[in-house]
Amino acid sequence: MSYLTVRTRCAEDVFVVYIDGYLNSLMAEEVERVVLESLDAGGRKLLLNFEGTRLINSIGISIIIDIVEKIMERNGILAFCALSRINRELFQMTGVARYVRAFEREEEALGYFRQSA
Amino acid sequence: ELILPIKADSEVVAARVAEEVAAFAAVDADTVDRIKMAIIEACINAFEHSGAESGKVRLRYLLSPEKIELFVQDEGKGFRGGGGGEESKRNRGWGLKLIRELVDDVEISTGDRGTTVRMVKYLGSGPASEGAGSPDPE
Repeated sequence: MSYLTVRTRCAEDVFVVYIDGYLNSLMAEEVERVVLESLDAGGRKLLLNFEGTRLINSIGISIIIDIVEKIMERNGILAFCALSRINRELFQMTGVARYVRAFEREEEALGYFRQSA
Repeated sequence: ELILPIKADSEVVAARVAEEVAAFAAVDADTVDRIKMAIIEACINAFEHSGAESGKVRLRYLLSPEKIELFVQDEGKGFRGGGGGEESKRNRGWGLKLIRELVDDVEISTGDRGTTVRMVKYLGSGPASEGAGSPDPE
């Protein structure tokens, strides 16, 4: 049984990662891998789109925290979008929400990145 | 009652059953999501900390008009708090903290014959429903 799907796309200079299915350790490590690849290639603007995220577990959240730390270390900008209510709460409970802007829709988030050029 | 094999992603099955049980009780969607997340975390804890030779985790879902009670029982060596292996290091000990945020009551009984985590989510005007999700008073 595999829930691993990480789609990505470049929207102007923003690297968008779509987290579909179950954000467990496998999925989160794959997200981490593509994000680090983007940072290594010089990308600085990253957006995690949670629209297709059905479930998250604590290991997935912890890896997202690792990703946030790595992006901050490299002076990158990270945003989240399309969080369900429970996923938003989980990021609040774990303190992630203090460090990452969250937007309802992907377009709003891309607008934020345009302004922070 | 559900007996799960200790196997990657089998906690998703536990969450789906919880969803069905909650839907039967006409529980609102937010509460269902909280119950699902709590049971996922309890299963992951059981998988990781139990060291159970049986390779199984036993779950019980008890539904009453006032509350949903969820029991996650392993037959391992007992709960070791914040210890644990590689997964524990990766999740920074968030599992139990999240469970305490997500449900109204949590009890952990542990011993030589394993560990049982009992989680309660009150429905409607139950005793803790107004403080649902509030941190454990400890």
